[in-house]
Amino acid sequence: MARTNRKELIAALLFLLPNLVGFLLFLVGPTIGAFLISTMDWALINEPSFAGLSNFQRLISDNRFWITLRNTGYYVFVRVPINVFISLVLAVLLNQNIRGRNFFRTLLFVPVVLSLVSVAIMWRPLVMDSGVLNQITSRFGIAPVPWITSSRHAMPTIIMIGVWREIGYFMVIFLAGLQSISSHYYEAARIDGASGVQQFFRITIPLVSPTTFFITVVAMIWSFQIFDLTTVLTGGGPRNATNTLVMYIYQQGFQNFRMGYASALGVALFFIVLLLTIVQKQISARWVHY
Amino acid sequence: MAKLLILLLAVAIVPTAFAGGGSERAASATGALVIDYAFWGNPTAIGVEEDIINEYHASQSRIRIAPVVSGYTGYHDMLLTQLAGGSGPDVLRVDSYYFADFAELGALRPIDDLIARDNIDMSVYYQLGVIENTYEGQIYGLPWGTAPLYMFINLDMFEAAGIPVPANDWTLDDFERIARQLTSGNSFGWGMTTGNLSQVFPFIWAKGGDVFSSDRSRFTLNSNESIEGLELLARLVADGIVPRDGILGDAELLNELFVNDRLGMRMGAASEILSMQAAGKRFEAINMPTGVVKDTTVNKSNIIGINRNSRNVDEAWEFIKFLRAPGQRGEELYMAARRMPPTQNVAALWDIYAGSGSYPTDVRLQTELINDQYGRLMPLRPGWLELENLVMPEIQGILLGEVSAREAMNGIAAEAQAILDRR
Repeated sequence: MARTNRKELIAALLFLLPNLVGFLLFLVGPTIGAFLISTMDWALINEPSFAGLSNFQRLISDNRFWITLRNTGYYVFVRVPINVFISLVLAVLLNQNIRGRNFFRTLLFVPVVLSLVSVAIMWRPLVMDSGVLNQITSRFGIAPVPWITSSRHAMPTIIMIGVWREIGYFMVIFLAGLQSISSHYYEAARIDGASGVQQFFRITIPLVSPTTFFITVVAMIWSFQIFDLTTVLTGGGPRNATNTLVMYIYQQGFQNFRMGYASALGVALFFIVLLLTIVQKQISARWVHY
Repeated sequence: MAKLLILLLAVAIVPTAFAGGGSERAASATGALVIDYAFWGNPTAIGVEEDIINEYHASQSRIRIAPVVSGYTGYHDMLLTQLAGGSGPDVLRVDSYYFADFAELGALRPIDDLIARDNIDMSVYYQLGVIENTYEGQIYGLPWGTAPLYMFINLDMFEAAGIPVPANDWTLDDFERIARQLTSGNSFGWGMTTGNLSQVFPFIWAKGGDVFSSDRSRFTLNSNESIEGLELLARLVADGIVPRDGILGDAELLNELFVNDRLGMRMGAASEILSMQAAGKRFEAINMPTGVVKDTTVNKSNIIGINRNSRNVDEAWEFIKFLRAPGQRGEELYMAARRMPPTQNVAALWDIYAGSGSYPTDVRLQTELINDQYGRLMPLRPGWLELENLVMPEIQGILLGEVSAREAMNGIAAEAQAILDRR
């Protein structure tokens, strides 16, 4: 290798080094660690012992793993489409030249900058049985809704709050996607007599599909990580109705002193998310137009 | 260019490499040995601990204390993570819910030898606290925060309803009658949460039930007596005597209702007395209602112990003695801060703690009655938190009317028994 090339290579590696070290130390290392710990019986403060695949065998017969997986799936597969749809609609609306556009964009983005713990604390007085929402609805003769104190309503309430929290972020991404669509397409469509709805479905939706794909993947991964909101707002209740997989991992690791099993749950979550991402990627070939 | 980059990286990395040795460097700089002391608390409680640490520093120059502080939420996770990494503080406070697991897994050093060496008179402590610091015959720490979970009586609501403060031998029937009398409109007779089992124990105990058999080896929350206790609570919620919001809420919500005269009775810790006094609340603190047994009030004590891996055992023990040993300054300072009643049966300490004359009117009498007659320790054991994680969601379902007590408890009995058998 020529001396100049070698120098450049060293310089490039040195520039990459801080990020690479962080990536290896804080992402790759812990991931490998989690895989290793999942094959161990370890209570954190004792000596770990090799347990083979017993943690994974236990997982299959663990009723609460399936309950929390079902709850997490419910949250992901209901929340993500709602989030994508509403964000897109709002982005389309706020992409028009309407009065107060920047104000509404800012307003919708405000929840994104709040921590999830603050969001949960803020929403609690609204959704309690004696909360503001029920006080308002009772004025119209509507019976109070047990927003978070019934197994049936708790998860939809969490989904509603989750959608509210992140809608602004996805809206901004959609706005960027919408603004990258050349106005020529719309002009041509108008000349050809296409209506607004036709333009939306024939131009906007296909051309914004890479953004939709990105948002779907990101929203799904984030949704699988739901923890703070349910922990603070419902503690996973009532009766485990909002207990999610990540909460269950935490409970197993730090309260039940089963870090090996918690890691096995983490590995399972990793593969579930990986599988769904691969499926999304495969399906995307049919509907994403780059 | 490459040399410059290497130099910059080296400058960045060198301080990081030395960051872990902060304590030892501090020790060598001042000539004193630094030991870490871990505790939880809100800002007020942390301030009290800092005052005590400052006084300890003023009393000697050989040992310096480095506080390791967290709010209660996440505190034990922090400890576990540090201990898993082979480090951890020298002196640590452990909640009694975690104590048996910590002791069994070898996180704590037994201190019987140190107690014997320094002739610490353990009989001065209220014995419930000493029992709660003992695991399989060995003492692992000195008691911290030994106190009952009192029944707080809202005097304004009781007086408005013409109800006298219950006598100590009041029963579950009295309790239910009073709770119903106090309930009207937006006001509730009784408030409870489902954060942990301590909230339901008094009612299960009063009916003659318990969570385990007496040797703590068999799950008994599905016994007829335990079911009766749970059914009583479910009935109170269904009849609107208990605010449903509290079931998934926390003590703070109940405290707010209580202080604003919307809640007649609630169970609460000694540490909450100060905040209610600060709010100017008129209240009493008594024992929980009795039933087939008198000892239905939960008594609880946390521990302050030594990390088994500490290399500074003697220094850690010196500090623990200052904090908790009879005749030392620590307990007096805690009493002056009035955040918890004395863990030691010493009149002078009670005088400091209860000397202000505000409500509750006779906290010493009530506390000692509970310690002697009406109090009982929870049957804590390894696997306690795992069991609570299994049981409490079901109790939520029972209280919110989603499942019957019998169905819920029978539904988890096999899994609960498996936890007990495994641990």
